Amino acid sequence: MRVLAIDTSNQVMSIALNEDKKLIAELTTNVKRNHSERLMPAIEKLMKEVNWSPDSLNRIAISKGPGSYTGLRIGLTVAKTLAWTLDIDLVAVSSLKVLAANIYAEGQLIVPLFDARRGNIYTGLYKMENGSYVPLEEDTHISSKKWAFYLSKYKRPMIIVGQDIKKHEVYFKEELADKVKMAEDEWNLPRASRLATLAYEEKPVNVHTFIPEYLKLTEAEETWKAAHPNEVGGLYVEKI
Amino acid sequence: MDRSEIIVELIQKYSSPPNLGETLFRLTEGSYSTGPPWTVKQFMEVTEQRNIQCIVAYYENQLIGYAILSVLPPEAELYLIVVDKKFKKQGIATLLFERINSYLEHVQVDSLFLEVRKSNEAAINLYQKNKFEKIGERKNYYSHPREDARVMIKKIERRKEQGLSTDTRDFMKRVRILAIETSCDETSVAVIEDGEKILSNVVASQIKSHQRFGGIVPEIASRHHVEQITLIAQEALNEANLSIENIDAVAVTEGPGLVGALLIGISAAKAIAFAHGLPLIPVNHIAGHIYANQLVRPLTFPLLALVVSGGHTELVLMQKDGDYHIIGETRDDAAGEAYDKIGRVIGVPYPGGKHIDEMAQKGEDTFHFPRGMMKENNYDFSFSGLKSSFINRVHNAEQKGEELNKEDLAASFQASVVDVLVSKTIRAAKEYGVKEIVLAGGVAANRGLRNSLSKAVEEQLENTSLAIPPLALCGDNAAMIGAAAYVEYKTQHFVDYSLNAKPGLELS
Repeated sequence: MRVLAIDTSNQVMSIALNEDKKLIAELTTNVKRNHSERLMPAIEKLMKEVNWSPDSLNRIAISKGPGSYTGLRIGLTVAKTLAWTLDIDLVAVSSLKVLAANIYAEGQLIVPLFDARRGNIYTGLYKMENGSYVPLEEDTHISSKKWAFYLSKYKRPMIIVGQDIKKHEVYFKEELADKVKMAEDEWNLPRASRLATLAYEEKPVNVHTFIPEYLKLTEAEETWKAAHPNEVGGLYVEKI
Repeated sequence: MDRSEIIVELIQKYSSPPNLGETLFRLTEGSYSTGPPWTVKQFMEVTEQRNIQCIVAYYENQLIGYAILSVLPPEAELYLIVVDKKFKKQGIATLLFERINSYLEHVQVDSLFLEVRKSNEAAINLYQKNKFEKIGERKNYYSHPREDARVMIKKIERRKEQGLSTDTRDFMKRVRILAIETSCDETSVAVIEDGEKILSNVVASQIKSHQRFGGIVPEIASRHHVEQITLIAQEALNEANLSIENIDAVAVTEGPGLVGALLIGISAAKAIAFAHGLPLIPVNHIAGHIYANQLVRPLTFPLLALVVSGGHTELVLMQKDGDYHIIGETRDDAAGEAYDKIGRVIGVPYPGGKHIDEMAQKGEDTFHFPRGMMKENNYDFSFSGLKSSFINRVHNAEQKGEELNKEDLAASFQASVVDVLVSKTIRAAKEYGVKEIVLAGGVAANRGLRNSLSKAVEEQLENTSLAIPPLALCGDNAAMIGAAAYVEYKTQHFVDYSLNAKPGLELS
C-alpha cells in the first residue's frame, strides 16, 4: 500500500511517502513560508524523485487539526481533493497525536502542544500503550496556565513536545515541577513520516463531508450563539 | 548524429524544468559572439511571463537549441533563436522554425516579427531561408557594440483543412474545462465546453450563513468552502455526465477575492490537475464576469464592459479576447457595497441590493440625491457622497420624528446610482467607438440598471449592441470562470503548482 501523508497544520510543512509501512521519502521544513505556494510543488517533486505516479497512490493521510486555520485548510483541501479525484482512501489523524508520536517510549505520558495565541494552546494528553498513542484527554483549546494546573492532578511524569513550548514552559514548570520535561529540539516538529505510520491503524473517513478539527468556533459565531442560545443552526449552505 | 533522435517541443509552463533560465543562459553563452543578450535572471523572468513561449530542441536528453517568442495573437515576436555551437549547420534551426510555425498557426498568429543585427549575415541568411522578409531598420537599436537592427517579418499562412497540423487538429477537438470559483461566499464548480457551452454549473451559496452576521465573515466563508468543495465538484461532473478523464484542463479563480476563500479553490484545482496531469489555468474573477456573456453569444470587439458588484465598479475596454484596459473605476465604495450599506440603514436584510431594487420599482425619485462625479471629464465613479447624503437625510428625519417613504428613498438612491453608471458608460462607448457594451457582475441583476442601460443604448447609440447576462450568470459562478479560461487555454497560458491566491489581483 502506498501512502502520501501531509501535515501543514502549523508553520512546519511535512510530507512523506510510505509503502507497506516502510518510509520511502520525507520532506520537512520549519520556515515561515507560504504553504499554498509550496505544498503541491513539494508533493510533485517528492513523488517524481521516487518515481511514484499519482495514480499509484492507495491512501492519503492528513493531520486534521487543531492548528493554524489556513494551514489546515490548504493541506486538508489538497488531501481530500486527491482522495476524491483518485478515488482512494482518506485517513485523518489529530495533528496533536502526530506530534505526540515523535516520542517513542512505552507507558510514557505525552503532552503535545501548539501555540494558539493570547496565552492559549492547542493541546492534549496521550499515553503510549503497546505501540499506540492513546488519548487520555480530548484535544482541547485552553490557556496554558489552566492546562498546567489541570495536568498536575495526574501526579505522574510527563514529556511536553512542540516547538511553541518556550512561550508557555514557565506555567508547566511551576505546576508540574520535576514531573515534567521538555522534548529534545529535533522531536518538536510534526513529522509526516509518523503520520504515515499512524495512518495504517486508522479507518477511512467520508471524503466529501470531512473538515478540519478547528476546536474553536469563529468569534462571529461565538457572539451569535450567545445572542441566539435556542437556535439549533441547520443548513446554512444551499445549492442555488 | 541521428536526426530522428532530435526532439523539438513547446515547453509547457506548468511542467517547465526548474532551472530553465540557467540552462538557456549556458547554451547562449557559447553561441553569441557579442555575449549573451540577457542575464540568467532575465532569462528566468522572461520565461515565466504569460505571453512568452519557449520551444526547445533536445538530442540525447541534452538541450541543443531553443527559441523564445512573445505571443499576442494575431502577432508574435521572435526574441531569440539559438543553436548549440556543436550542432550548428545541421538543420536544428529549421526544425525549430517548423515547430514555431505549427504552434503559431495553432494559436492563430498571422505575423511573426524579429530584429537582427545588420552585420549578422549568417543569421539574416538563415531567416531569409525560412521566409522572413525585411520590412525596415531601427537606428542604433543595439548597444555593446552600437548597431542598427534590421526588422524582419514572416507571414504565417494557415493551412487548409486537409493539411491540418497535429496542433490544429488537437485544437479543433472539443475542449472541456473544469472550472472552480471560491472567491467569496459561493462555492461553484462548472464544466464548460469550448468556452461557450455550459455542461454543468453547480453553485452552493453561503448567504444564509453570513446573513446571521449582517455581512460576510471571511473565516466562516473559508470553512464552508472546505465543507463543500469536493461535493460540488462531483455534482458538476455528474451533471455534465462526464468523468475526469474527459476533462482537458482545470481552471480556477486566482483573485481578486477573500484570500482564505480563494485558497480552497486553488488547492483543490492543483490537486485535480496534479492527479490527472492536466494543465492549470488561473483566471481573474472580473474577467470571468465579463466572459459570462460569452456563454450566451460570442462577444464582439472592441467592447466596453461595465463591471458592477459588491466589490467592483469598473469600466473595462477590450480590443480583443484577453485584452483588458481599465478606463474608469470607483474611487471609494463599489456600487454593490453602497447598496448593502444603505440597505442596513433602511433595515432590509443583507445583502441589500435585491430588496432596494424591488422597493425602488414601487417608488419615485423624490429626494434627488447627488450624482457623484457625473459631470467630471473622466470615467471614474464615487458613491460615498451619495451614501452620506442618504444617511444624513434619514437621520435628520428620525431626529425630527418625520416619516420618510422607504420606497421613494430606495427609488431615489437607485436613480442616482443608475444615472451615473449609465451616463458614463454611454459616454465612454461613444468616445471609444465600441461595437458592444457588456454588463457584468452581481449588480447586473439589478432591474433598474438593466432597464436604464438597455433604453440608453437603444436611444443614444447606433451600431452598438448590449449584452446582459441572464440572472443565473450575474452572481458568482464557475461557468464564467470556465468561459474566460478558454481564452487562456487557446494561447496555452498555463501555470505550475506554485500558483497562489491574489486577493488584490487587477485586470491586465
